Amino acid sequence: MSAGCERYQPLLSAMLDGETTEQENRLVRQHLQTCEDCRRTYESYRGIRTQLRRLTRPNPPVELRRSVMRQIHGGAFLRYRPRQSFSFGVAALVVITLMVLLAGTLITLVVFNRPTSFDVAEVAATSDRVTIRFNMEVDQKAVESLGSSLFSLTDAQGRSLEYELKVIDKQTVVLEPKAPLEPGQMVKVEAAASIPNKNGTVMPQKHVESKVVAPATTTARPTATSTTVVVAQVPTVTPAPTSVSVTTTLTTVVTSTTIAVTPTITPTVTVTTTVAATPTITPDVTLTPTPVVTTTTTPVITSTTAVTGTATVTPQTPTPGGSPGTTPTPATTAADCQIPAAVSFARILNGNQELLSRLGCPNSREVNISLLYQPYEKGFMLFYNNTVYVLAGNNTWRSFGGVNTTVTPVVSAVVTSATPEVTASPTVTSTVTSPTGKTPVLSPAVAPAQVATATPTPNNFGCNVVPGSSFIQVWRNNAEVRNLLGCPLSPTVSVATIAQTFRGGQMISNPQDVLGRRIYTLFTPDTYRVFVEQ
Amino acid sequence: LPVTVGAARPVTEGYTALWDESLLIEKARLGDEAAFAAIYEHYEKPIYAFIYRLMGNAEDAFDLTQDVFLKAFKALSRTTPDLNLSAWLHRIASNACMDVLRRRKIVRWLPWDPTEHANITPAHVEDEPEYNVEQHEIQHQVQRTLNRMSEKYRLCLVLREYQEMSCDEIADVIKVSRSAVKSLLFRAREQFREIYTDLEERGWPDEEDKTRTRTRKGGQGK
Repeated sequence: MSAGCERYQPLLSAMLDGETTEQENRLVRQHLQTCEDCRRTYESYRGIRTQLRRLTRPNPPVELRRSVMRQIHGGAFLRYRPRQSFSFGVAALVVITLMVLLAGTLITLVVFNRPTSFDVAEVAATSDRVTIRFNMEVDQKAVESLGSSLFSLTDAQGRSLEYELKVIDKQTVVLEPKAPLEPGQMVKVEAAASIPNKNGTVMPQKHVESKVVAPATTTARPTATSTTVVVAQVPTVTPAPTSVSVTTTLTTVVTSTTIAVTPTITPTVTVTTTVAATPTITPDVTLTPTPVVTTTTTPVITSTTAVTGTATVTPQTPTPGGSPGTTPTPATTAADCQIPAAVSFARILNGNQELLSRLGCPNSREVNISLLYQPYEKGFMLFYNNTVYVLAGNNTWRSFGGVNTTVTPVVSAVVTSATPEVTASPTVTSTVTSPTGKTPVLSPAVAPAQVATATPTPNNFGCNVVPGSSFIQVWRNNAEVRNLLGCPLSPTVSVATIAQTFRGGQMISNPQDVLGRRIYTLFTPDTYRVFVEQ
Repeated sequence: LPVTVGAARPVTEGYTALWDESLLIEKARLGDEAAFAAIYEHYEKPIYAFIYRLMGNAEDAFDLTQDVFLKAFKALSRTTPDLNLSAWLHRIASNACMDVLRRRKIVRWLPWDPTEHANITPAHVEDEPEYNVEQHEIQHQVQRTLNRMSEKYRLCLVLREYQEMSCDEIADVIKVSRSAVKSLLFRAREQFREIYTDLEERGWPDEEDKTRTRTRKGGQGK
């Protein structure tokens, strides 16, 4: 490299950004004609650009949107900061072991806050319906006869969506779209200014609201026998300027059923907490026009491991070693360990004495892993650390180590050029070739079965979805595993996440599970529990 | 030599269709949740992807994207009407990521624990049949190179080459002068080249980068 090159290199970088003057451009071009080193430097800068622009744009998990929307709704975000307050030990979170006997048990807490003028109180959009609730009783007959001239439903591009109008009750109107809406899609809902109410007046101004469409129903995996511990956070409710305070009763659940709990807080109108014992959740909100109704359920405590408390709370720092009156278990809060648990794991561990005593302290810090995940009819399979984990519906796990993945020959054929990255130019579509010049063998056209085994006729045991190639060997070769898991429900998902080993097991986070973020806790030797972030 | 000048162009991939941003900001500023939902809709993917590339994993991307939008919703009422929403959101995201990355850097200096990596090695994601091995491998190397860069250089490079912002826009996001951005970008490119070449020569390590080490409150482990 000539001595003058150092002077030129910043200019090469600036030139790539369009930040050089005409004069500088001329100088640089002249220099490049004679200097091989600077040409290489410039090409490598361009290579960096090409490769960074080719990086995929990962899709945010659906749960992220739900989580953000849930928190901004009604200003709840002001009080609910999951990173700080999502601690299972603090009294803000009340965990009760509750045997839910009736399917679809609904606990509705209603805070009624009488509005001052006739308006739309709430709009909710799911893929099969848009529900509009008014803050006063509407003139049902008039609304029915005026029909859809009073409402409009459009998509994000402003296209009008066809729907059928149904007056559900005195205050609720439902627009049922002819074609189902896409969850995550944005729709605009308009209610005309002239909607008449029961008092003979009309809505003074039109109501326009954009909504992100939620899935129609949340259906849990049909792993009815798996013990899924759903630890739902009970939101701390403090009085908003327009609402009265709420005493929220706890939620939650350990049963032999998968249970999802969705506490929804709408300080201005209603607060609804739904606890469903079946895998189906009915997200409907019941509006009861009584001033303040607080429904309290008496929890049935069936386990000594339950942690109880109340919902009106201030965060409380865990006292190291425990305080008098608390569980006499020696030592353990996550903070007592020399090596800290990952933040998301500590949220579960703190205050959960049973879990802490079973897991003990971390052996090492959490590490980044690439996790493969596939849900099955009666459980799921995970793959990382070259090991397949079978998490069965009977609450036990087993692992199959040293799984010989079929990629090895392909992987070894991947990077062969000395510096594929820095020599790339934008016109080159592929910077890597295999030494043999062959295209890598793995392509979507190749059936996983053929890839994974030498069996000429793949046997999928009547399943529509084939196990991922990391899982197929274990699944095929072990009738017991097949019996425990059933068929795969959907293709394998790969996610970059974290795992941590503890004295008594390990914890693995899966932020992209179908139902949101899950944390698998695998105890030594063979049982597991799953925590779902709500 | 075909010299093309990289013109500054706004990134469009990942954004929703054109929209009336100023009207929505105005409504969201007054607390209109639906307007904020529309803003969220528009920026969710680009901000998530941006954070994902800065942090190198989905876990952090989830947490920090959530934090960014909640902070934004809370702070929107205190902004001025001439708000540059994109730059502002990227600034909140940048600050959030830089905070976390700097905090984690402290613990990188702790004694090496040989047991730490003993048990866990990454899965071969490439073995999924539907998966493009070549491109993934390169993406993986690019991401690992990014993970090893200093935070400030990483931030500049990602804003310029991944988010495709101009030097002016980057200056607005990170609040430095345009000439400082030019200089940062030059050093960032040099650092990227250096780290990449080094890893290439030494052979790409089998293990994932340990970028998620976190300090716990009030302590730094051992």
